[in-house]
Amino acid sequence: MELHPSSESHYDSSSIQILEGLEAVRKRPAMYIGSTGPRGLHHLVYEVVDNAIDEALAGFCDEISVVIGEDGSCAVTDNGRGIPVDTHADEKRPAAEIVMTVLHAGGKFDSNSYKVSGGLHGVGVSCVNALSKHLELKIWRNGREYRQSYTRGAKVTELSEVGPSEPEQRGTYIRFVPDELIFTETVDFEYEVLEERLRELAYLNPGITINFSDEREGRSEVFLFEGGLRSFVEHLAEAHTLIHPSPIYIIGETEGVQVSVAFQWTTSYKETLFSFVNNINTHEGGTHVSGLKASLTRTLNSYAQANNILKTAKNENLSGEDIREGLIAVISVRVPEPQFEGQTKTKLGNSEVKGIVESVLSEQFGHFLEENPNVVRAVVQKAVESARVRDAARKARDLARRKSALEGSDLPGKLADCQETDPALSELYLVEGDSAGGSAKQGRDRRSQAILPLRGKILNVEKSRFDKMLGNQEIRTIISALGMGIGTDQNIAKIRYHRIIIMTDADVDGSHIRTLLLTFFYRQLHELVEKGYLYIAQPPLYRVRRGKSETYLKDEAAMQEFFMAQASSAVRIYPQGSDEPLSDERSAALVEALAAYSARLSRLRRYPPELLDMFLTVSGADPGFDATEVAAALKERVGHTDLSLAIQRIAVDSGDDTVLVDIEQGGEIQTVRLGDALRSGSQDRLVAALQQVEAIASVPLTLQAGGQKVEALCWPMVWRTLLSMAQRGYDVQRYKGLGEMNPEQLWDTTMNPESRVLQQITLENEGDAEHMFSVLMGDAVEPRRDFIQKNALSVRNLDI
Amino acid sequence: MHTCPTCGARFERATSHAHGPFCSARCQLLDLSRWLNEEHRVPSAEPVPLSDNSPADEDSLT
Repeated sequence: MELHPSSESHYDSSSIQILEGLEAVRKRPAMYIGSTGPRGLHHLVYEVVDNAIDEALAGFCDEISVVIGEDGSCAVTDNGRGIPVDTHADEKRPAAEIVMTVLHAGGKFDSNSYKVSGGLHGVGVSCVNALSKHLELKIWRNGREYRQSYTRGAKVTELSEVGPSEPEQRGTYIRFVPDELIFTETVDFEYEVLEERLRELAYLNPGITINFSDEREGRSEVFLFEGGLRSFVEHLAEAHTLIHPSPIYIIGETEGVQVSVAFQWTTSYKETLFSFVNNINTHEGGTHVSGLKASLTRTLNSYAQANNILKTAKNENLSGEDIREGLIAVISVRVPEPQFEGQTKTKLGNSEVKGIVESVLSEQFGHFLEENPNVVRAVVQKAVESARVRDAARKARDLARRKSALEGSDLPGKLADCQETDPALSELYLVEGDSAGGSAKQGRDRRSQAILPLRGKILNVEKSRFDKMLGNQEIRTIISALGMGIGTDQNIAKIRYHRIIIMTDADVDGSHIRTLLLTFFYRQLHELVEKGYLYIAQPPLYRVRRGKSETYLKDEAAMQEFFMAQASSAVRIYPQGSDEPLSDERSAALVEALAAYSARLSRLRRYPPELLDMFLTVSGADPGFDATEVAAALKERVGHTDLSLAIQRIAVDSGDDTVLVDIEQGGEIQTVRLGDALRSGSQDRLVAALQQVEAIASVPLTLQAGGQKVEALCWPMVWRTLLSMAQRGYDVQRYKGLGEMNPEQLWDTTMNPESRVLQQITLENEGDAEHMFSVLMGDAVEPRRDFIQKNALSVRNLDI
Repeated sequence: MHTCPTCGARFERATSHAHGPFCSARCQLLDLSRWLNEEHRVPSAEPVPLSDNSPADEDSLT
């Protein structure tokens, strides 16, 4: 690019060499400032500011102002020593003029001036001058003010003293307007870009005040961070949840290299690392960053190993990548002779720096870990998790890929597949146990029903504790059989069956396996559940046979219902002193009401049912009962009744007017208090159920079936007798497992699409489902144990 | 609001929920790794001692 003719005229012959130097900058600006785009434009500001920072690092400046003018200029003022104005011995010109016009003269023409220097790789402020339409220089030094101006690198005026400065005033002022002939893309400074860099510089150089204002927008800010890198890290960590309260801050100096590092672990999953060498942002890292990473990894691993915090199976070390998950770190080093490498020359190459950083860090970081074992634990836990996530993602990909590579030929050996190839018409039975699996394979319709036998795995955790789980192999087998992949690599469109039917035994083991399978599907194959592809088979729990007729009943309640129906027709019920039995309608109503009452009675496990029933009967279920009268009535009843209870004593607690009954149970005396619950109203529904019963008949009653006649004195006894009479002549078989059914029975009762009952799993009560799963699978043992004891046997409670 | 089974975070779930009941792919994969490592377990009821078998007060259930 040609220089402006007018600027040439100001140079005499002695300046030609120098002019050529700056002409080179104007010809190939990108070689000196990286680019002529916005990045290069902003570099002009950094170059001038860096000179001021160098002055600050040397200890002569503590305040820098940067002002973006309305005319698009940038003015940088510092309160340093001011650029020397005396005539340079070799050049015969003022030193300030040399600084402004000679390449590489910047802050380094006297190598003793600055121990370390930042700046844009030392090209100096002369570059800024060369690329500015106008540049104005003011120097306050020795109590005088000096001025000079330039246009496109050429001086317009000589450096001249304009008079005395303000008292105490010293420093340098450089105001420049970028040349739009060079910066053809834009000459507008961006506030945010400058703000970020100036803030960064203030963090990197604690104690220096940087005033920044933009007259175009009327915005201004002051940056001063006494905390330095600590403040920087705090700023970066603002929106995060911290693992330890404040950043770890380490500084040190070895072999003339100053190292400062601040870092903070957060719960985030990202790693944030900024690195600087002599205030330059080393985007590409380099030896200082390698040293930081190596030190973190080695120190943390060795501490964790030595203190047994690392509980990985093979005691493997954590990887640096995993350790740095959630880490926010800033490292700043000052190196006297930095060597920069890489594409953008932002990678530190000095090999000795790695070892220096490591040695400075390791000792102090080790101390920190000693004093903060909780932080180590949290970081280790996070790192272990991060490693597991990567491992699981890899396994999920492998599982998905294996399937697609072999397209169906890699189905698990245990799977007895169906002939149908249309998923919409295919079913997969997940069957608990090999023997039931065998029956299912024989009994199935092989055209559309596939069978996959599964086994739960039991682990003896402690002496008295056994854990049940689905083995790794079982999980893999299910995933391959379904063909839709797993984890983040799943595709419901590839599923091989649109009905997946869980078929387990109706016992505790079965309910555990069912729970595990439901949880697995719900969590890991969620879309499948959402689409309604998951079902639970309902194998019968009972078979009731009389002569040649057989009935399968799915649970206790169904069986009770079955025999209740028998009871009202098979048993005749005579009220006391009557030869006339109750009518069929009345006895059916009585059986129904009695069933409801008995169910409520047996739910109150604190009371023996017979005793509570007797109490309610003699007290008339009246909350205003008289305890003394009731106790006397109870005593008389007990004498006449054939009770299964060993009652030792009946007394009155006159304190709250209740009845106390001592019962012997297994050699121990247990005291039951009667009456308080009745008075508090918590037995209202039980009382209502009793009233329903007593509206139809009252005890004692005589029951007759066939030649047998029994007098029942209380309702529990009536109920027991009714049921046992109803069951006469029936053969009741309880299936403990699916394996007890032969293939035909299994087909008839559970697998035949014409007659089976399948329970479809839906996500209607997802919140409840997840709560149940978290209780069952969670870490808290007590609630889980309670939950299982209450619900394990009930399929209904596993409905999602 | 929905609770993530892995990390316990409460989050608003989009209708598409890409990660099933989990708040993130990470939490989903952590859970998967627990299945593959046989860490999801249900304690068996058999060895529970009788003394622990105290029935809860269920008056309130009537």
